Amino acid sequence: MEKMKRLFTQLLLTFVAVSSLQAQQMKKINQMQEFDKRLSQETQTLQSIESDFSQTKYLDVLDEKVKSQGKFYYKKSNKIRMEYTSPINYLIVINGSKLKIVSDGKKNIMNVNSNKMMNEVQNMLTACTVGDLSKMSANYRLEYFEDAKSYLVKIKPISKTLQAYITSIQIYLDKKDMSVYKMILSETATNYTEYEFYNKKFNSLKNEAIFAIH
Amino acid sequence: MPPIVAVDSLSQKYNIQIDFMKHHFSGLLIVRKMDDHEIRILSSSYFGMSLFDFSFLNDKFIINSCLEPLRKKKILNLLEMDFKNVFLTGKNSKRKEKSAIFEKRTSDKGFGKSVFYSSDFSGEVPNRIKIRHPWMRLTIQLDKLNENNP
Repeated sequence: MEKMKRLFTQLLLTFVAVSSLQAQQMKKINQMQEFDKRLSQETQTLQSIESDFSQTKYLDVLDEKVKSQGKFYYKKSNKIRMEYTSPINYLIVINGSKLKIVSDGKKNIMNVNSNKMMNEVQNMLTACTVGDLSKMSANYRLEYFEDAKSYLVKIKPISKTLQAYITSIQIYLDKKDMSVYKMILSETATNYTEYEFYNKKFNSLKNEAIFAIH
Repeated sequence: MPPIVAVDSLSQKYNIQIDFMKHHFSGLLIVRKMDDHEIRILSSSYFGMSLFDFSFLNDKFIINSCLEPLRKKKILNLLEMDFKNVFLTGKNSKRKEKSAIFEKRTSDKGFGKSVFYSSDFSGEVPNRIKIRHPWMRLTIQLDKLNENNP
C-alpha cells in the first residue's frame, strides 16, 4: 500500500513536471518569414473582432487572484472597446487619439497624443490585443517562440521609464487564425495580469457607434 | 473609538473612487490584516495596473510601491491619515452624528480637515465610506464589493 502511494506521488510529480516543462518548451523562432507572412495576411483581412474576455490579476503579496470579465471589441483601425461587467461596470474606449473611461456613471476623456506614456500604452494595447505588431515602436525588444498550436511574442520595453510600469508583455497567437487568445502583462516578476480572449467573431461588427467618444 | 472598518485576515474588496477637482478615477482597493498584524492596502486600476501598495505596521506607514503621479508628500500624507482613520484607529477623529444607518466623523481642522460619512450598514459594518476634504475639492469614496455577487 505504502509502495502504491509512493508510486502515485511520483507519477503525479512527473506529470506536473512534464506539463510545466511543456509550457516552457516553446521553441525560439529564428526564421521569421513564415510568421511575418501569416501575420500580415491575417491583419490585412481583419476588419473587426468581437469577443468575451476574462482577466486575472495575480497579487503576490496577498497570494490572491482578482478576476474580472467582460466584452472586447476591435474595429480597424485603432478602435478598441473593453466593456467590463464584473466586478463592476467599467468601460474603456480607444478611438484614434482619444481615450474614454466610464466608471460610476462618470466619464473621463483624454487625448493620448498629449501624453507620451498614454500613447505608448495605446499602441501597445492595439498591438497586443489585435496582434498587429507593426504598431510596436522601436522602444521594444521582441522575441518570438512557437509550438504546434501557438506563437508567443515576448515584448520588453527598452526605455527605463516604461520599464518602471511594465517589465514584459507576452502575447499568445493561435496559429489557426493568428488571433490573440492570451496576453500577460507583467509589472514586476510577481505582479502580473493575464487576459484571455474567447468566443471570438471576426469581421461581423457593424456598429461604429460603440466606439464614439464625446 | 474603534476604526470605521475593522480589518481582519480575510481580504475586503472595495471600489475606490477618487474625485479631485474635475477628475474622476475609480479602481479596486483591497485591504487585509497579514500574519504579522501588518495591515496591507493595495489598489489597482480595473485594467490591472497597480496604483499603490501601502502597509501599516505598528502605527508606522510604509510605502511598498506607488505610481509616480501619486508619489507626492502631500498626497501620501493625506492617504495615510485617511486610511488610518478608516482602517486603523478612531482615536484621531470625533463622532459628530450616529444612527443605525449613518455615521459622521471628523478629524483635524483647517486644510487637513477630513469628514467621514459611513452608510449602507450591514450590522456594524458600513458598505459605503465617503471621505471629504472640504478645503481641497477632493473626495474619496469606498464601496464594498460583494464577493458572491460582485
